[in-house]
Amino acid sequence: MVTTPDDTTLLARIALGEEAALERLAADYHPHLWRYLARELGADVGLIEDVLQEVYLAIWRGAASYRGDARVSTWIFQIAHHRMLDARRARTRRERRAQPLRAECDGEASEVDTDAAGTVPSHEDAVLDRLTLTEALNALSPKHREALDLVCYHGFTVDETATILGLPPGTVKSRLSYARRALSGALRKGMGIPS
Amino acid sequence: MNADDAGALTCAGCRDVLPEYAAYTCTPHTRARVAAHLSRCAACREEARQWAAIVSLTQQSLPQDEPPPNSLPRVLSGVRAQRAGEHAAAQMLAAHERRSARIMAPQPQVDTQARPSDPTSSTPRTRPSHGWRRRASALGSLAAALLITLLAGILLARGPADEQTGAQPSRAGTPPLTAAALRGLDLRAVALVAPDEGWAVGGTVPDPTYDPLTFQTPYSLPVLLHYMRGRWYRVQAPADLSGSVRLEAVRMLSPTEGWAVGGSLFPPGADALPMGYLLHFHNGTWRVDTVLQNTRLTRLALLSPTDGWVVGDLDPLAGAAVVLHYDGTGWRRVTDPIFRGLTLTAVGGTSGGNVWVAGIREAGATGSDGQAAAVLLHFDGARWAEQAIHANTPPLGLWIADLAMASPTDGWAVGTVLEAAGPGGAADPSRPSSAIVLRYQSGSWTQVARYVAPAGAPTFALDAVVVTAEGDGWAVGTAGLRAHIRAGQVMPDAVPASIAAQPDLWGVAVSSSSDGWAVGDRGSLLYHASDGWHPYSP
Repeated sequence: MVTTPDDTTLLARIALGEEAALERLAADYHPHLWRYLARELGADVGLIEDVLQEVYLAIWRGAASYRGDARVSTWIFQIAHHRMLDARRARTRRERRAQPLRAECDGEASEVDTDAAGTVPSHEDAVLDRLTLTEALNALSPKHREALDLVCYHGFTVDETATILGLPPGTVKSRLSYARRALSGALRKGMGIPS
Repeated sequence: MNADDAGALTCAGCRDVLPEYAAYTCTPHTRARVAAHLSRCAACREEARQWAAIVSLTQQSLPQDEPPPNSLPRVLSGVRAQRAGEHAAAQMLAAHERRSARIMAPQPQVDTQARPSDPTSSTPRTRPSHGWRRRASALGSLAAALLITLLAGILLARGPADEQTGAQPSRAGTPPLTAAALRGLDLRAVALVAPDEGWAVGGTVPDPTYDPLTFQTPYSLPVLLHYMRGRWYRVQAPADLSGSVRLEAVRMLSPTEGWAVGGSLFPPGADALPMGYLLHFHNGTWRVDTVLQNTRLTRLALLSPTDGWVVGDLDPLAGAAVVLHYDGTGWRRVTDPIFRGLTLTAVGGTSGGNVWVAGIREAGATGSDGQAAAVLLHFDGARWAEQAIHANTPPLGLWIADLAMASPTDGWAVGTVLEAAGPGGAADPSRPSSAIVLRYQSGSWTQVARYVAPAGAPTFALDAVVVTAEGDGWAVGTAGLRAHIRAGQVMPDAVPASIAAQPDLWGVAVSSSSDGWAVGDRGSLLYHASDGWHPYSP
């Protein structure tokens, strides 16, 4: 994902209080942000629209602080990532109150990367090997799938993805590497290659 | 990147950038380096294929990925309402402040929800800027193509090998090539070790779905065919050769010893690094012996077990054509000022003291006047010297495709030549070229035959020639053109009336005056018997 000079110009006009510029920028990014949030939050239209509203408001408020060090698209997705985490945590809190005995399953509370050292849980590999490629992709943990989606679908570089996620580039690389290895069994099966 | 920027990419460095390579987000420079690494590293190539599949997979859309109608107006309406509420709150605060007679300087609006790493409250990091729409478009076009080409590449890479190859050298249990499988092969050269055994090389017919931007799937896969006791079999190419490679020449010293050369093959416009490959057949197995960057290897001559020659394209870094010499222990690159500015297209000879190479001096070089000029060079065992060519037209527009020597004083060369734009005029590139035969006799090369292109043919050429020590031989070329060399004469044997009559023939070999093979595009395999040439029927 890349930024046109128009994006920078639009942001400058937003910083000057031009509402039409925000609407134009939002129109450009809306499908991309929607796809990103839908993949991270699921098909909850109301929740996604709430998060998008927060994102566009943050752009409106923060446009003047944009200094052009990062691409506009990276900056906007960084905002979206944080708003998405807020929404996910809020939803998790609601679900915990509703189901106090449900086990914690979202690993985002802890940013310790089990894969950072290059180790892949063997039991997870074994499970993923039996799944189809799509199922295997969906079976990845949110943090691995998000890194994969930002690099492979949204077209951010590893460094940009690291900026968006607030992580060192090395952690992004290890998440990508983990995701590929976790998918490799299903990939081989999908391509008809024996393991 | 885990590699020295000035040097070749390591496997670790390559794998670090493969996600960006597959998603087409790395720089062109990195892209070229990764492509170069992939062309010689099967393990990284496999990982690149996996990344291409993952990128394709992530491109697939779910219904939830599309924003529902009117979602943007709804969201923006919410933004306006929230801002209006904030504005009202701000006005109430201002009124309160006025009432309390406190004067406040204007403050920038701050997102109180922002954390330190939130871009609305922190310093973003540096990135170059590109074009969103170009990127989105590239992703969109790559999305479908990647999966299709990936799977096609996998099938190409595995299908024929699985179906038609077996453990070398035995063909036991391996079915011969089918007619359908043959049609998917473009054969470039053939060599015989006996009347009932030989080898042919080439590439798979170029993949029309190949995307020159991605290098993800091979444009053409290398092909090795083995002829044994009346049947042709496909033999699996060395694993580290899979990629966009076509083999161009093969020569055998014995049933257990031989060499083949080839190079990377990409469609016009692909910004890919040329690569050259030298393969060794020894004790039943083909292996990659040498890999050269920046140039392709195209022709090969084995004059004895201790004397071999390989020539290739102009190496732009060296500024000269690549020439390799084999002395029985290994191949060494031969440098000589005479090779500067040349692309070499043919090599032949009778011994280490009688070697000929032919080629072209690239356009713009001395005397070329904007057109490539043909050159013939002779090596007498001590030094190289350029030989004059006595053709009816000047060497401008002349292309020598192959040469063969019956003896140190008797040889043949074939190729193509542009027609002149009138008597005594210069070569005219706008007119179709003609196939040409040159003969070496009495110390000079002289044009002895020319075959005019049939109507509608843009080019007409003889591309391969072979001649026995007895002076009996054949030349083959465009659309099945064949010429017979016998008793010092060359005679047309088959001259196509139409360019579409037959596939082009690129290679010919004979084991005797009555036994030989010719190979060409779309699996063309012709055998020569005492009663003439016949198509091979699988």
